[in-house]
Amino acid sequence: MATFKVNGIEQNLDVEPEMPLLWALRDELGMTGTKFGCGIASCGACTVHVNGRAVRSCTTPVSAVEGQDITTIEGLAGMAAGANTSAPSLTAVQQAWIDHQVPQCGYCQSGMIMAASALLASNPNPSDAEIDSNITNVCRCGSYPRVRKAIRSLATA
Amino acid sequence: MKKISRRRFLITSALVGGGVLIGYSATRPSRHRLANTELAQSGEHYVTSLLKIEADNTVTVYVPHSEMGQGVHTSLSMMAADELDADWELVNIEQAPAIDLFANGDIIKGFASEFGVPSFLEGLISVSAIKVAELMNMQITGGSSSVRFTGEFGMRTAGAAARQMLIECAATRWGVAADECTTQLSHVHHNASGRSLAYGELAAEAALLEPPEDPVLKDPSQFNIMGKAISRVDIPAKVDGSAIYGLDAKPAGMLYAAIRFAPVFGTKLVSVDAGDALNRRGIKRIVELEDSVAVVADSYWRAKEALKLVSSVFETSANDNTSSADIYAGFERSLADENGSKVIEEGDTEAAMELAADVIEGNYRVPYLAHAAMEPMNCTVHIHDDKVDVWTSTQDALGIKARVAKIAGIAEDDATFHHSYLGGGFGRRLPFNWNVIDHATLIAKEFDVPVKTVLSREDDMQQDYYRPAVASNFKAAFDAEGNVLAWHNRFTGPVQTPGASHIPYAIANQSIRVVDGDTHVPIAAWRSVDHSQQTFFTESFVDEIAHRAGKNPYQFRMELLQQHPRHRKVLEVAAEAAGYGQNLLHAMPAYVWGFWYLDEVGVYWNSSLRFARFCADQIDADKATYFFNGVSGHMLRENVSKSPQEARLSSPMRPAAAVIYCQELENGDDRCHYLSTEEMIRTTAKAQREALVYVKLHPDQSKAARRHIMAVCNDYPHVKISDASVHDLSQASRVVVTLNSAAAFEALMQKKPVITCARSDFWHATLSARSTGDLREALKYGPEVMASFAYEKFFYWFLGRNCLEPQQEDFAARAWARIREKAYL
Repeated sequence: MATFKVNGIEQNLDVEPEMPLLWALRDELGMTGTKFGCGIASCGACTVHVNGRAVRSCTTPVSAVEGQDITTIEGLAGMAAGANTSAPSLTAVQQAWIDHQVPQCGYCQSGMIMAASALLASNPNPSDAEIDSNITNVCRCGSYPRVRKAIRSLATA
Repeated sequence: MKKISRRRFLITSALVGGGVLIGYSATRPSRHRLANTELAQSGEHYVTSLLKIEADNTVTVYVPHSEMGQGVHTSLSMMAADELDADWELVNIEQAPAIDLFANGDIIKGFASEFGVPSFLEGLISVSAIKVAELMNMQITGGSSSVRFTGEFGMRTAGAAARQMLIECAATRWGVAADECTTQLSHVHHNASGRSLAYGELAAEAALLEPPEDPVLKDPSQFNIMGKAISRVDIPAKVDGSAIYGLDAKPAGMLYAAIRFAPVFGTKLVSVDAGDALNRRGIKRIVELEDSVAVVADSYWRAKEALKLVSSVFETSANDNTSSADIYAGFERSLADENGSKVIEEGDTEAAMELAADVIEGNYRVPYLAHAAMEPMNCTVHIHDDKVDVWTSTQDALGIKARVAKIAGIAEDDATFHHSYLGGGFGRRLPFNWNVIDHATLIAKEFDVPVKTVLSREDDMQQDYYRPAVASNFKAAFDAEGNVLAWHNRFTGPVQTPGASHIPYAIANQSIRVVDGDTHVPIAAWRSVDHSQQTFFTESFVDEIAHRAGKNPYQFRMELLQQHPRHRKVLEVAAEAAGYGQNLLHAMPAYVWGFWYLDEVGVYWNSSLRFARFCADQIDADKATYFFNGVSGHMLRENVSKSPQEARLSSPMRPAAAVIYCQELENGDDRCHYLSTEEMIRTTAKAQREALVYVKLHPDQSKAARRHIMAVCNDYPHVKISDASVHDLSQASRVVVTLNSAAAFEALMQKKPVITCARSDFWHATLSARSTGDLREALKYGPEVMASFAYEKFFYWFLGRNCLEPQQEDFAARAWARIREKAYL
């Protein structure tokens, strides 16, 4: 039995300890916001937060997150709002993604937003070099300039 | 050969509740748009696009194309809504279902008229005996065709026809001539009598009208929605995880398949040993197919892990050891031995080569490329009760539906396609790249529950239909003066995009031929198709020629493009945007009095500062504050501005929600303006109904513009035109709204939130509004968003980076330093 919290809700899953968190989220819990891109922690489409830190879920076995707090793209705003029921339904990062019209096909953007949110939480004013070295997610459409622009808009605001 | 008929077939039908549904098949004839007989006939029988107007005045546009990141849901709806003069706020967008009614034959017609049938459709046409009319049964999204063909011929025509019918209804009701009526924001107006009716009130009657034969489309100068940067409708769902892609399908009871294909293209499966795979948790079955083996389980991960335990033997083939080097060696042999088939033969290239004073040669190669869409290939199929359901990301829903139904042995009418977003397409998800679709269907045939077949990323890279590897050999001949006499190009095929290897350059003798490039590697259309390699080859060799001729590569191209004004324009725009080869610095007074631009790219909205990054943390705070206080203190105190101002008032003006600074080029520069002055005023006036809004005209405003702006302002009692000093106006206002005026830059000195509705080179310090929606948001949240902006640092950075102040002692030294730096001296 694997036990961990996803977006604040405790989950008990009868799965193999080596099942990657990605597939536990997608196939067992039906939470499809977290994406499968490469399966080898290379592209970042599967990025989630484990205790607030960006982690690539496709190579993270559920045994490694036993008892931990997982946040996925679906719960990002809710977890940020906490008990504040009047908080906006999107985080500032998500809103910046809309304002700067970042996504194209959008498939990589769940992971991109999770990575950017974790970066800004630990470093509210990242330099371009820090953005480049921390956000290593792959976008096949080439949305990188807008990703940087959106992050910078939050950093300098 | 019969030309495309001028006739159009428009279907209208009344909706329950008093609305109208309009479908349009449009064929716009012109000398470029001749299609073959079959296409012309079939062109008379399908409906390409639909829009619906309901009694509550909402408009629904059905988009028959796949959304794969190109924004097609938004762009096509914009085209229909603009011609309809619809209120964009009332427009809903829906994915058209995968049924024949929404087949997009406009694409075939568009392509057929431009180039003949595109090669990515040739397979279907050549392998099939069915009539082209039935071939229209597709919903292709590819070939950059959606806006060009469906949008241009379908959406715009549907919108224009609907508008014309609504006007006709209103005119009849009022007993006035149709040409006295105008339309705006989903209403028909009769200005002479001041009457107006919402489209929704007219829709039921419009449904009874005979549709117009040839509705008049707008001139681009009349566009209200097209050409604007409208926020994309698909983006909100893509930031919160709710957007559904093919891989996200989860019908009840679904199983998952992991698959192993033959490691060499074209070989077949011989035998399978399941090993311990079937004993593992969740494994349902091992399915053997002609060229692959699959494990089906209750989770994709379990299936994929179990597949590792399965051993499989595939046929051997002559290609088992074929390497990239072997393939290129084959290309070299073809280039050396074959004369190939003609692409272009003009003049006598061979003779020119013999007479030439000099000949240069160039050889180029590109490799096979996988499409590598971010969303791995997948397809979910459920075959049950003589029906089939399909979920997949595809660039042709109708074609996929037909393919799956055929393999499943089920009538097409009993097949249902479930749409989703595509995590990238790039041609991989076009028809004929069947390998996932076919396999998923064959696997699902073994079950009565839905089965989702997923390719791993490794499979995706290894089992693609690739951008072809191509080798190309060029020769160019010169006379003694260095003029180009002849162009010779031999490349390995196939030709997927006719015309991609053509050159627009005026070279009298040209010989372009294609030789055999077939290998066992499957190929297909890949993002821009042949242009991806041919443009690289051709333009690289043109650079070589210019180099040999001792000419500037830009000037050289311009000289050879005398007959091609559009090509010249493209080069000019690119050169200008890049600031290429102008050998001059633009000098012009900057926004703040006393400062001058000295810029290699341009001035105002187009200066190099537009591309520069403002990083507040790299700027010295003390120096910035000292500079900011000095400049702004002087200017505000002395009432200095770029334009002469009225004297400052002794007491503050009445506070206002906003001040709008008009500019003299308000109908001018299409390239840099997101909103018109009128939109800026109306949107601000409507968003700020409770409070005062000031409007300041530009001192150089034309009389006509002045009259127009005053008329617009007159519509709103709370909008006041004022001549007061910009400093007083900015001081009294909560936010400043402008296109990109100097007055707004000056407002930064008062740390006011500024909204720019155009490109500007000081966008770093403003909120950019690219649409009226953006402007409304910026008006609402501007002060909050800009509250902690580092205005001092920005000022110091902006004016220090590129602008020179002649009053200072060391001006000459600084100017020379700038010139040396900018001109690469």
